[in-house]
Formats: sequence, structure tokens, C-alpha cells
Amino acid sequence: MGRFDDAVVVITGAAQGQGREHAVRFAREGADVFLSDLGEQLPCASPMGTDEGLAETVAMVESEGRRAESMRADVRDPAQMRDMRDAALAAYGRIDVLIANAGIGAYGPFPTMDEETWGEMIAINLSGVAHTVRAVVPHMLERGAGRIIATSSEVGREGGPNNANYASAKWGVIGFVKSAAIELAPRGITINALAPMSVATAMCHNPATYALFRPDLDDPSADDVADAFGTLNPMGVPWLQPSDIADAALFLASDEARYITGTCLDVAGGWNAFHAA
Amino acid sequence: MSGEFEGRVALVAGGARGVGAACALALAESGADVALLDAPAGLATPAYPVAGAAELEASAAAVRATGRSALPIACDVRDRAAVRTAIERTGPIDLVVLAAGLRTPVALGEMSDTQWDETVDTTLNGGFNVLRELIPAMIDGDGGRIVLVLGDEGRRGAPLLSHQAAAAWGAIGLAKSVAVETADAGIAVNVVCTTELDTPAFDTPASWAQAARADGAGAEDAAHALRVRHPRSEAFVPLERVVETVLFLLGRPGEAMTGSVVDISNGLSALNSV
Repeated sequence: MGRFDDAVVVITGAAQGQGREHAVRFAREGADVFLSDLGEQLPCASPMGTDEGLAETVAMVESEGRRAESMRADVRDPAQMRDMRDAALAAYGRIDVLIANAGIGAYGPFPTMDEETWGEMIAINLSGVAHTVRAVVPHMLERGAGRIIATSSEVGREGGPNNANYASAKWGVIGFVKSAAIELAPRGITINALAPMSVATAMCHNPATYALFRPDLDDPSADDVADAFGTLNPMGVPWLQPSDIADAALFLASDEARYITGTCLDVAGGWNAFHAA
Repeated sequence: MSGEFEGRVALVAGGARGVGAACALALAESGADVALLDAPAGLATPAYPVAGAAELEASAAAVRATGRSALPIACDVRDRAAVRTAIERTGPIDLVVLAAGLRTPVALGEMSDTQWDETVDTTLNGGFNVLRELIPAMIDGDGGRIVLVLGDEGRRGAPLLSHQAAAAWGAIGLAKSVAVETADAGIAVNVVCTTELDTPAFDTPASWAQAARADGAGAEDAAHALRVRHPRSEAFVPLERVVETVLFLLGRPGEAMTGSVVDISNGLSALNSV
């Protein structure tokens, strides 16, 4: 018996990283999953998921003994999110849990930030979350039930140097989630945000991110940046594991969390204690 | 005439009416020359008439009546190329007020793609478009002062305004990030959040229903609900108080105050955790 036996969970950005971990962990708890990813690399972004990665996540879910369906879908396009919802409903008949997880990392100083680095970030990490949620909410309203989790960030809690685009998108996710929570609360649906600190995924472990943290080195390695990452939170941990975030998602989707909505749960080694609220 | 902002050049996005126009006039009265950006083209979702060329000209005329110069530019902040062209015309800017915004209440499950896009593109992407054009010259020059005027939707969840809340929260994230990056470059970026204003954007059945939390509510129902909700028992924030606060942030605190959010909320912010 699992905590999510026969639940249907839809996850965007499932080809790698946190999305993949959510898929595997929900499957391990008995859920069937519908997974999407863009399957394309944007020039401005940290390494993104691939079709092969999405297929691998499907295989990982199946090896847990659960069903996985998947499709390529672009969160920037509201019509594709509606198609994704329709495909998930065609496959499973209902959606119990939605994890609006897809997101990119893309950095740069604000004064020279180009339109793509700004625009793709807002289109994916903010509007993409909203398009995903807006597509699925009518179904959940019909059923009078549903759990929605949107991925924000600790950078959605403060100003982010070299990260104005990311901070804007992740702040926006929290405002969106809180507003949606008020609207959906009387209708049996909860929606919450997760605010992780750095997580050991491709968004964290890549040369561009390393270079941001150690501009003094030519070709910094993970070992070179670990201490710098660790200074961001009082536990001094450089990065969390995707399973740490999946644990929080499983909780927010669980029956135990039925009265929790409109919150932003910091999973951040205490980084959040530096913030005013 | 001499004033606090004598010899300064200001740019006000959303300067044709409401908070923007009032800030533009007050800046001129304090000695600034003012460029006004407004009269967006092709907005499909507002249920009220957006500011047009006539209001933009009227706002410019009010500025000129103080003896200062005005440069009204028909410019939709959503249009990055138009923003760039506008700022090529204005030249270097010392003081910036970003006050362009929409109000199109709608339930999350009924929101059109265009409603989401127009609100986020105006308040959040529009803010980026303007600041990204202005900041490099400020860094290379004598710095600058920037104030974003946002709704209280940027401070809490706002039912039927999830797009506006997302845009406003996002704009605060933008303001704070730019503040961090420019804190040692002579630039201060701050935010003013206001609860409801008695402006044309609020004058729609959808806004009344949103404020009253009741379908079919009228203007008086909305005003009553707002009086009940706000500790000061007033429905609307006086425009003059907003203008005074914006001008204060553009002047006195200097660079020591940056990345801050000031609430003008008839006491609603007393219910905030911070």
C-alpha cells in the first residue's frame, strides 16, 4: 500500500531533475503519472530535458510498477497545456495532483540582459506555470477536488543578483499561487508553492552556474563551488537532493496537508530565515 | 521657480492619467521636465477605455502649464522596440515612475490567454522593457531614482486577480533584484503598493464584483466592501498620498533606501506579517 495508490499525477518538466524525482517518488507511492517536457534546448538556458530523458523517466516509473504516459509539450503555449490536460484525461479519466514544475535557469547582469534571457524566463517559469494550472483547474473544479503544487524558489523570496529574470518569475509564481488558493479554497482544491534552495540538478550543476559562483577560476568544478553555495544557507549545505523536494511535494499532495493552501514551503536549509517573512 | 527636482528629467510610464499623470504633474511642479509614455495600442481585455492620445496630450499640457517641458510619447510598454525608440527620444533620465497597469478581474478557470498575457506583459515585462533601456545609462552617468507603483495584489493573494498578483509579485522581485545589482551604482529602486484607487480602471462591473466578492455587485457595494476590509474604513487610497510618497522616494532617502516596498493601504498592510 502506498500513500498515493491509483492517484493520477501530472508533472511538467519531467525529463530530468526535480520533475523526474517527483514522478518516481509518486509512482513508488502507488500513483500513475502523466509527464511532459519541452524536449528542446533554449540557447539562453541551463541544460534542459530531452526526449530521451523523458523516456527514461517513463521507464523509471514503470520499473516502480506503475503506469506512465508522456508527451512533448511546451508550457509557453496555453493550447499545448490544454492538449496535455486532454491527453492525461484521455489516458486516466481524471487528474488528482498537478505539479507545475517546468522551469529553466538563465542568468546575467540586468543592465545587459537580452530580451530572450528575460522573455523565455518569464514565459516558462511564470506564465508557463499559470498556463499549466489554468488548463487543469476547470477539470478540478468539476470534480471539486485537486492538489496543485507550483515550483518557486528561494530566489522568489529575495532580490537575485544576476538573476533578476528568475527572481521576477519565482516571485510571480508565489503571487499567482496565493491568489489561486483564495479562489480555489472553497472548491476543494489546494494550491501551494515550493521554494527550494539549490538542488543537485542540471540547473545547478553546469559550467555557467559554476562560473557565476567562482568568477575567479577558469573552469570551476562542483568541488570548487560547494563552499560558495553553502554560504547561502545557515545549514551550510551546498545543494539539496531532488528527493528532498519530492518529500515536500508528497506532503503537500497528501491528505495530511488538506488544510494547507496558499503557502510557500521553504525547503532551503534555513535560507528562508534570512528573509523578513 | 525652483524645486527639489530642478534640472532633473523624469519619465513616467502610464503618465496619461491616474497615478502616472498626478506624479508627472507633481514632478513638474517640483521642477522636473517630464517624458510621458502612455496610450497603449491594441489592448483587448480592459473593460474600461484605456488612456488614449487625448489624455496623453492633456497630461502633457498640465505639465507645461507649470512652466516645465513635457514630452508625450504614444508608447505601449509591452512593445520593446517602441520603448527603445521612445527612450532614444527622451535622452538621459534621472527619475523614473513606472505606473502602467491594467485591471481585468476574472476567475482563474475562466481567464483567457489574452487576459493573462496583457496583464503580465504590461506590468512585468513592461517594467523590464523600460528599466532595461534606462539602467545602463544611469550606471554610466549620475545614477537615478526609480519607483514602481503597483497594486496591493503584489503583497498578498488576490482572488480574481491572479494574473495581476503574479505580475505585481514578479515586478517586486524585479525591483529588488535590480536594487541589489545597482546599489553601489548611485541608483535606488523602490516600490509603492496601493490598495484600490478611484480611477477609471476600477470603474467596471468586474472590478466592483471583485472588490465586493459578489457577482453582480455595484459600485456602492464595492465601496462598502472596501470600507469594511480596510482598517481605516475608507474605500479608496487618496491619489495625493500616493503622489507624495512616490516623490519622497524619488528624492529624500537617496541611495540609502533601495529595494524597499512601501504600502499605502488604508491600514490593510497592518495585517501583513511584515
